[in-house]
Amino acid sequence: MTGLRLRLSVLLLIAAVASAGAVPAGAAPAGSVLRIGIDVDAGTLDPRLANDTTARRVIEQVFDGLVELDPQLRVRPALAESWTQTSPTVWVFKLRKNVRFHDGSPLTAGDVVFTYTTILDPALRAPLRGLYTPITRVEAVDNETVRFTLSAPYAPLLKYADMGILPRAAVERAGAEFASKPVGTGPFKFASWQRNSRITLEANAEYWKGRPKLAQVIFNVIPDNTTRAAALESGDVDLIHSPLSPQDVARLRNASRVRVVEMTGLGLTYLNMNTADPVIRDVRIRRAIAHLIPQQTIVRQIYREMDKPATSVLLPAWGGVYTGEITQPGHDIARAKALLAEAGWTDSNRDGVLDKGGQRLAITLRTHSEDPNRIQIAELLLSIMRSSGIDARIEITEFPGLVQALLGGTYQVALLGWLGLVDPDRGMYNQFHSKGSQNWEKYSNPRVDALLDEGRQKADPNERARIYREVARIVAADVPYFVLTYQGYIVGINRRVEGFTPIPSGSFRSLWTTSVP
Amino acid sequence: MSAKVGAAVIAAIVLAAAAPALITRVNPETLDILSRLAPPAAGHPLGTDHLGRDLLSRLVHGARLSLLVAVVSVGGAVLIGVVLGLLAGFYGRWVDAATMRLVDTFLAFPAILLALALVAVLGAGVTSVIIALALVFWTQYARVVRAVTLAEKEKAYVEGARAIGAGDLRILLRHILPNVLSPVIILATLGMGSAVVAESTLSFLGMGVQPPAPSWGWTLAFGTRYLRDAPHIATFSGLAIMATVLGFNLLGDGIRDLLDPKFRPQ
Amino acid sequence: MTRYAARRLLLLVPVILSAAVVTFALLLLLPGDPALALLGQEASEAELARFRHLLGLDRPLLVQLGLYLWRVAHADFGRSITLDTPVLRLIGSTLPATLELATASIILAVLVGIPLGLLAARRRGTPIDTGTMLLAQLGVSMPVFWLGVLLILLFAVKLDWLPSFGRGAPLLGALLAGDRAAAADSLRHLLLPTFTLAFFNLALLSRLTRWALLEVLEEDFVRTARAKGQRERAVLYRHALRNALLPIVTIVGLQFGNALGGAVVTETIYGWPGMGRLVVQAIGQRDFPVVQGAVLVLAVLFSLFNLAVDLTYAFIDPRIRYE
Repeated sequence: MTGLRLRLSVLLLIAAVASAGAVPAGAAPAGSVLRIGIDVDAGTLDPRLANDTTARRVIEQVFDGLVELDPQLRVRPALAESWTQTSPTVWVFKLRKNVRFHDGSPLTAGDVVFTYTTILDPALRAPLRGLYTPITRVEAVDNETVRFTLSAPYAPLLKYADMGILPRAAVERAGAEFASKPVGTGPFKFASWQRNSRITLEANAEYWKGRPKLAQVIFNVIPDNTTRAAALESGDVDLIHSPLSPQDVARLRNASRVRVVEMTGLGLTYLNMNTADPVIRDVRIRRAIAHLIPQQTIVRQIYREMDKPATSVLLPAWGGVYTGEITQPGHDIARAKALLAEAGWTDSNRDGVLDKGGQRLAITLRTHSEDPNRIQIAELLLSIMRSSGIDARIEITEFPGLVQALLGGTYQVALLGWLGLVDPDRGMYNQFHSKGSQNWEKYSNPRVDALLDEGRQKADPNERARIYREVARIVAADVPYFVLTYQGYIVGINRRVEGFTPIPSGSFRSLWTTSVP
Repeated sequence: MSAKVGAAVIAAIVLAAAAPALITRVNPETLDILSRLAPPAAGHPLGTDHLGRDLLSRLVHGARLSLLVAVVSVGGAVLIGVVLGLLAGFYGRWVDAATMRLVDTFLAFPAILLALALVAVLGAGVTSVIIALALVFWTQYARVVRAVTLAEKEKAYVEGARAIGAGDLRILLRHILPNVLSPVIILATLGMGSAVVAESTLSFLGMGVQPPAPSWGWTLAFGTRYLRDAPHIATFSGLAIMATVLGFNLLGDGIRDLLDPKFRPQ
Repeated sequence: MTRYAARRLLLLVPVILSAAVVTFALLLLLPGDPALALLGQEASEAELARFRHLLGLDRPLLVQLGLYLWRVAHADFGRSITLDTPVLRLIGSTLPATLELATASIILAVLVGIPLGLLAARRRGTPIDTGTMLLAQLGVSMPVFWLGVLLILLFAVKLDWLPSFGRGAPLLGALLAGDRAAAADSLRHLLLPTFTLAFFNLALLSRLTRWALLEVLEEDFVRTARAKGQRERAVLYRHALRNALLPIVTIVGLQFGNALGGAVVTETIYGWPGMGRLVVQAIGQRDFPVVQGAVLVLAVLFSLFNLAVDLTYAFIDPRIRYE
């Protein structure tokens, strides 16, 4: 008897556990559904804390910023109708009227002040806080006007003002739970979230730009690149985007059901060369390494043209600043060998490995295990370096291990990438300024420092182009970075989807005009 | 019959590992990126891999690596397991209790996760993979050896040996160890196959032997990524792994029939 | 029996405790810490120091360990660093998916593996026997990730019969609610990952069943039974199958244990929202609270399954008692 009861209650318990986390039952809302395949689950849906691409994709549907970036990365009004710079260090934003959050409460200047002051509060642990630290004060002038005061002129600020605005009252009510039940002003309302599986959004009929055409957007988490591409091909999802594997992109280009859109994104893949390393500090060694890299072959063979060969640290997406005229040391093995000899490295004992003063020329190339393409490139470079008389090794670790080596300066050459470089300042200041927080290679050039500081203060496009082009030219000659590729931004869409416009930043801004007939 | 097949397969792999030049003279590290993912053809009888290296040569030279990982990791596991198992079974009491709690602690972690974490801590590479697999596999030997030791030490001949003044070490080595050997040999033979598969799984999860070592696991892991463009890579490297596992299993079954028909490895 | 079980259960306490300490030590030795993983490339030394302080990583190690054990003792697993969610909730949402997959695969392995072994044993020496055992060899020697990708390509892409990824509604919930459409959808999602996970155990089980049967068929009492004119079928089922029970229990126990954390590969390939993947991700992102919490829960479940297997042994065959 007790045995039976025990068994029954165990069964019930299992049933209860198994049904927990179920999607809310009930019919799907009328209208069309767009199913998106993404590589990782979002970490948080709080815009201030978001630190991964999925979170940003979902957040930009649920939230709006003061401004938004158009496909050319130009700043356009969003929640702010207009703005003025009353002095080099004071910006005033005028808010749009009659905008409501998904919970019905109206958007006010207080919400904007709340959003930015909490980001700046160290206790929040906002990962991108560093981008906003030049802001010293944010205050509401009246209900529809917000004033930002800066410690120094900071031109990139406008591009970072696309941070989603949160409803103060709802955040204070929900506390930490807000991150898993977000409320914003965006075109889609948060509906449900199954960890590591899917996030569902529903149309916000009262969206200030107009009602979205889609009734529902579902983000499906499919970690394996190959499976994700297969899901698009078989029609299980309607849309996938980078990161994708080159061989899958090559196949999708020929798949009948799928349209592939390719453009240069906001990322680059590069070799970081530690200028503090006893061997690598010699610019001739860095140039020699650069000359050894078969850039075109890597792009054609390993990336299958998904990523494009880079000419400098300037991204093509930076309209007005980019120029293809700067060049880095090109593939020239004879030149590389000559440079190594010039630097004093010769094979004096005829063992096939170059040496100098009794020391062998040993170089270790590091990369991370998450990206199979980078592992292949590392293997290729290893082989080329070895056949050029360098005692080369590769070391592949998980990403946190690589970052630790970079921060500690315990590396020689590292192969990795940057993502989301919306602005030249974002792609160069911290990387090359001698006081930059990501200047792991310990690159130090007073001229570059002066230029980068100047760039932060100039808003004039021509001035900025002149400044950043000069930095790029110096970097291409000094080779603290060898920029290997401009990462492609690739979107695969089912042909029945209409009205979706891919943007190099990877943003899904155009989802609210997208439809699936 | 099938044991002979197993022995033949393993002998062939050992031969490849010992003298790869008998099968191919192509350098497994020579790469030709322009002919990557090429299907089998005259110059490359099994085609090329993702960097245009000769797949046959990679697999033949990879045999040495796979055998090394299998033999040393299982050897390490046997060593730890036999020593601790003998001590636990023979001395009983707190030695036994401590050893068995240690076994339980290791068994409390799912094998793959433990191996993965250990390789991450030690840094990817052959040595790390071997240590991680040894630390994952040793528990089964400890449990079996302990059980056999428990049974043997009660037997009359051990009493007899003790009566004529034999020391603990002598009893352990001369009288108990021989009884432990046959189940350990059977388990170890089968364990070699598991080690080969485990190495490939670690590679798939990005935590295996470091490239450019010609690891079968890496080759298969990359091969599955290019399954639709170049199916020969996954097929041949997968077959190499499967043949090796099959060989060790058949051999293990054969040894079992020979040594101890009643013993059933679990 | 009860006292034996109680004693074994009590012995789990030090085991779980040492598992917790081992986990703590392993995480400590990993290169890179949660602050690094969270800030990634945006990290600057000052920001890192600030994060480490906020996460309590700058305290003495023994204090950290003590606090961790103290919290665990109070069932407080903390919050995930990267997912910003209570660890218990993450476990609560991923464990059911893993249990579902594990249960389905064990059912498949038993329902297919044992009959195959029986068939092979009855038709020993025939092509059926050879074929079955070849299949079994395939199962135990084929790396899971290769099998998984092959199955997706065949059944989801080429034939387009089954979905390529993900999980439907919880199957048990759908069945209890009588929602046939949802249950059918769940089953369709479940099929490929279940087979992928089950293949190894199915193969192992069919081999063990065949062994067990052949062994018993040689024994005297079976010969006697046969001589007495009992039919082959009756002999097989009455005497031989019972003998195969031990390996079956082993496989069921082991598979359950392995599926909890070992289904990592299957879960990754099929995008199955389970716990194995959660832990591997958390290791890769140095999300210490998630790894600590999830591994602890896995360790408890794993130890309980191991214990259950041992107890079942002792129950089936009282001579085997693991003292």
